[in-house]
Amino acid sequence: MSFRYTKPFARLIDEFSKMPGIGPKTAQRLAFYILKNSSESVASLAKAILEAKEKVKHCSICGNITDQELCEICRNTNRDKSTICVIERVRDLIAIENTGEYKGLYHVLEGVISPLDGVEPENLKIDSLLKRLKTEKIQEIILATNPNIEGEVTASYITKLIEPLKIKVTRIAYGVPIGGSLEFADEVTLTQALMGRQEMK
Amino acid sequence: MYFKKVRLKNYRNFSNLSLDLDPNLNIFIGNNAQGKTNLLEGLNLIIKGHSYRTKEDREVIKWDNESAYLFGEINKDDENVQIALALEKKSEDFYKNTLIKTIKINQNIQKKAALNKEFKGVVFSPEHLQIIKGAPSLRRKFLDEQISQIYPLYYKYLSEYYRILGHRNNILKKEINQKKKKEKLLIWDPRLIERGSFLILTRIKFIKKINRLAHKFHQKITKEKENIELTYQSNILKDQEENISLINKEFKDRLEEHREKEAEQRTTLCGPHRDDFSVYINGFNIASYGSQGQQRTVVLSLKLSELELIKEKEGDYPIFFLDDVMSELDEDRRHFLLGLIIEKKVQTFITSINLDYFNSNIKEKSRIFKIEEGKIINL
Repeated sequence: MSFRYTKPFARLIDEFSKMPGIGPKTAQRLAFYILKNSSESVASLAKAILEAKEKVKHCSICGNITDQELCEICRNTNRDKSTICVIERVRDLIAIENTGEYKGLYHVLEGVISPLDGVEPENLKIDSLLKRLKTEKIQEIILATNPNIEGEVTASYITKLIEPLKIKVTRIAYGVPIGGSLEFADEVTLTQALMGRQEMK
Repeated sequence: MYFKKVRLKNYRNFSNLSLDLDPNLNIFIGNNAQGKTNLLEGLNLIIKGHSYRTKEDREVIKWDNESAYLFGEINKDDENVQIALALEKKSEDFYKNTLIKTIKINQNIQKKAALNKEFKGVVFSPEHLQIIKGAPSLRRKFLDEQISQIYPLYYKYLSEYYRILGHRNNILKKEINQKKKKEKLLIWDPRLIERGSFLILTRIKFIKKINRLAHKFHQKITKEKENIELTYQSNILKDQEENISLINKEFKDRLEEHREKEAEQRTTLCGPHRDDFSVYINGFNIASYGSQGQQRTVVLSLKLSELELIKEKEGDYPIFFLDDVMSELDEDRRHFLLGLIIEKKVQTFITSINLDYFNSNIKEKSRIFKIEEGKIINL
């Protein structure tokens, strides 16, 4: 019979290996790390996990994570309240925030339309987006769903819904990455970049 | 473009094999189950990054081994390029049987796409002889593979089309409320039409190109007795249309016409996923009227056209892999094929059970390897 870890330890490994991106080997390493640490630091980790789960919730307006009713961005009076950037997930929001270029508001859809994964429009935060458009003074919607087929379909679905409201709708551009050389861009990316070309001003 | 050297380690039935290859014609001789086709597959694997025989990469690792390594040295535009492929089972991973595949070009780790962009190969195996008489899916596969090789955007649109189709069929299967069903379908239809029309148009244009090349080859092989013509059969279009907005419109109309039937049958009934092509010889459909020999000649003409198309796009012939087709062709066709390979200096790998298919002139011009139980035996 092969060697087996004692039960509490095996359970810890098992819990770790359920996490995204964690394989059995890494789970094992993390479990050993926990064992090696002092009781205080492990208690503090356990507390941090519980607290995060208890206190962090979604912003009632945009869906960003926050520990209050409204998130930092929705509360910030310096943000441009006339623009909403629509994204799939909170982590996309963080990516855009890190650029420091965007000063408007966000709306997290919590996914994209994908019947094969059981996601239909009614499962997404689209109703709440439409409600915002009717109550807030929005001038532009930026659709920043991913440039794959589901992201594209979701973007055009939302565009159709917004159409009667006469609000400007834009879609993020995609193509050649900045800093990349044309020579090394793959043909598909390059073709798409050509299709989405813009006039020089 | 040609292989100069190949080395295989713990790959299929080869423990360790190292060969210097001929820039033109290489013949692998041996009885059944000795490793001829494995070797051919290995060479193709090096330039494609995946096997043409199996979807399971792990199958190519020698039995009882944890990893396989393949190395190739290729001359491309008079420069030496080294390709290394490592397939390693992640043994510590006791849950999942993950396999790690690493591709290196000149010692730099690269994606499979980079490999496919640089190196081209054409396989001709007995399976291709089914193209004419087999199911339409075989002919679509033939078209899709060929077009993707020379037109990367096609491959992207093709996979997107099938993804949209999957979503659409899922709605047709699961949604019971008719009104909701239609609403949901209408979200996907414009994309299905857009991607689908692009596929149809590209296929029609491609068939046109193939026609021109295949005609030339077919005339030569048949000593000008037979005229070959391929026609694309779309369930969307009545005529071969080359106007994208017209194809779009027709596709849209067909979808509307099929709405009720689709709701009944719960699957998408029209579109390029149901298209086909037919081959006519002197005006007769060869699938119904052609002899077996004629059908083989057609496949040969199509395969040679494939070589030419890649040459037109890349400026160089791809590497040609002939798996066990010598015995399927008669002497005239064999002679024509081998003559062409030598004339055009296409690097070719041929597997065969015996050497009788090759005359002394061919034998002189080629390098012959005899394979026995995963080893090379000197002739």
